[in-house]
Amino acid sequence: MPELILSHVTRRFSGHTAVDDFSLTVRDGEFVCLLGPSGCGKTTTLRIIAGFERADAGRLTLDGADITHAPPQQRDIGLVFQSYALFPHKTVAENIGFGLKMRGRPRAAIAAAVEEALALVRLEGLGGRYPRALSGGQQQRVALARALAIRPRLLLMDEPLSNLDAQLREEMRNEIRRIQKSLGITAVLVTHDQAEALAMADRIAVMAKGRLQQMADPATIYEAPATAFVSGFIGQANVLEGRVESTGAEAVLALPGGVTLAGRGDGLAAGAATRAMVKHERMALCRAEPAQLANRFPCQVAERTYLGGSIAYRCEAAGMTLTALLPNHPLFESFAPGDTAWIGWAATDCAFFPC
Amino acid sequence: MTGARGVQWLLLLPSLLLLALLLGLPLAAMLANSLQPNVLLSFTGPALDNYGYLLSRSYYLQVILRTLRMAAVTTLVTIPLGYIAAMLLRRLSGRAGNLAIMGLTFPILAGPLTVVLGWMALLANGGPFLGPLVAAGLIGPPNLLGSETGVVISLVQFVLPFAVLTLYTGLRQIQPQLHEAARSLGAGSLSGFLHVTLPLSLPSALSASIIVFSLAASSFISPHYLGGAGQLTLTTLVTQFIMATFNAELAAAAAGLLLLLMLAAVIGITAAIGRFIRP
Repeated sequence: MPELILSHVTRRFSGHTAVDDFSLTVRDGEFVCLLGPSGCGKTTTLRIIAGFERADAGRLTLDGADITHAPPQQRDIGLVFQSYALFPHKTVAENIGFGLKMRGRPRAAIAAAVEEALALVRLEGLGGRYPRALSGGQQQRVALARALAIRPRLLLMDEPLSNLDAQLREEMRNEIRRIQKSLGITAVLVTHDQAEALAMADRIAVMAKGRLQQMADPATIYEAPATAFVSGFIGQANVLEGRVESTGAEAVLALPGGVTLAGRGDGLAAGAATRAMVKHERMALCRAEPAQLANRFPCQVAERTYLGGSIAYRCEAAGMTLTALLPNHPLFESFAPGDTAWIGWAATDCAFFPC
Repeated sequence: MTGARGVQWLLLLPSLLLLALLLGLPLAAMLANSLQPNVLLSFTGPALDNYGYLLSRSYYLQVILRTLRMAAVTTLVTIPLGYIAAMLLRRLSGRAGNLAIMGLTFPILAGPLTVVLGWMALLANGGPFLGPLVAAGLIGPPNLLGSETGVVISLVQFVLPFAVLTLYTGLRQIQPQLHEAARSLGAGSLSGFLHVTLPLSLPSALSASIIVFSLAASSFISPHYLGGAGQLTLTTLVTQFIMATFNAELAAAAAGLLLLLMLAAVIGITAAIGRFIRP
């Protein structure tokens, strides 16, 4: 069972802790994304798994075997680099066959495996080319084929799509997912791109400042963020700060201007400074009062930003500045700066986090 | 565009002229001189007799062979040592790396004569390093002074910084991730070096070999002070022709031979290493 377990892994560099008491379990055949802003420790974590960084504390097991101190060449982990790191002096076929050559496989077996890997990434017939003669997307496929040719127990990918243009990136997302599923291989992908993580992962591990913030499936990460960081990092949210007035299934938050908000949250204490967060697209903006929404305020539209598929409105309401994102669709009302309207949101969409 | 290119050539002209004047003229004069009659040989008009004279006497052939052998051995010893040093240097961080490079270039700053005088003291049978070992009966008298080995030791020391710096520049151009990729694919340090680092650094190894061979073959101070009259090389032979036998024409022919041999060696080295360089 190729299962990867990191328990309490810590890595300190002079002055700061890059990875801080990080624990993670990647199940057999699962696709996990490590998501976080740059400098959050996700790449260091990947390098620890690959064996290029040591863990100052903690333990790694793969398939139940302790690999904490195993050198990279003995881990049987396929690695796709952000820069692809293809050997420029070797042909595509030699690149892909390199891992098997290092394992001393017979020539014929290597040739067969290379053909198979080329077919897997749909690059049949390009084995004789040098990497420089390939496009970025093709190089990416070769890097993937090279990592997979050794039949690794685990596939690691470090920002593999960041050097591709937007259209190719979406295509490769599906391609990587297709290949991962068809092989049933356990995979960990590092990215700072939330759309990539949401689209590709079975589960997402959100990291910040070296710590695990939340580990859950994409929908849970998006809809029920566990921390203020996750809530603010995934999607775009309105943030309002106040003090808790009452707790319970539906908690109440009092803002400095005297306004109160209904919402939900764990670990709240009456009187404690607390932050309310509502995703932009969960805001309603309409001309008639939305009576069914617990939080609703008359507002004035201050700014309208046309985004193509949607339209963002910045509104002023009771001393709050709020952004509502409405689909660009005839069923939704359209507003111009200066219009008066109602802005509102449900208590279930309003998450409270202690500051 | 054409105008701009014309200006570029025009701007290049002064340095080209200077090069032709300062390098080309003396070389031409030397080669012309090597074709002139000399006191030992009676021939009229320019001819290759001086070269024939040198190439037909086994003593001079031995000198030529020794020159080539010393340069070749020096190159073969220096390049691996240079690789080790350059790879260590590359692992050092900014400040430590700068200090190491400064330390490495110090012998160049000190000048070869100073360092060779040091080698004369060090390599002597009664010197501060070998003397006690000989006295204690641990080794027999090594007699390194006046030997080819002694000259090669000092030549290696003299050319090593040039090799290290050339190889270091080459190694720095190799993406560090390539080595990591090799490791993740199952290559140990040695196979990672043989399959990735070495082939990718061959162009700089080629440059380093040419520099090292040329410096060693054309060096004068080391063979003169450490080899002496018993271990003549083409450079020290030239000096003997000028200072002892006052035969400027044979001196010019010996120097011409050195030049030709070095050209041949450069072509040979380029062919030997160049075969392994992939696009």
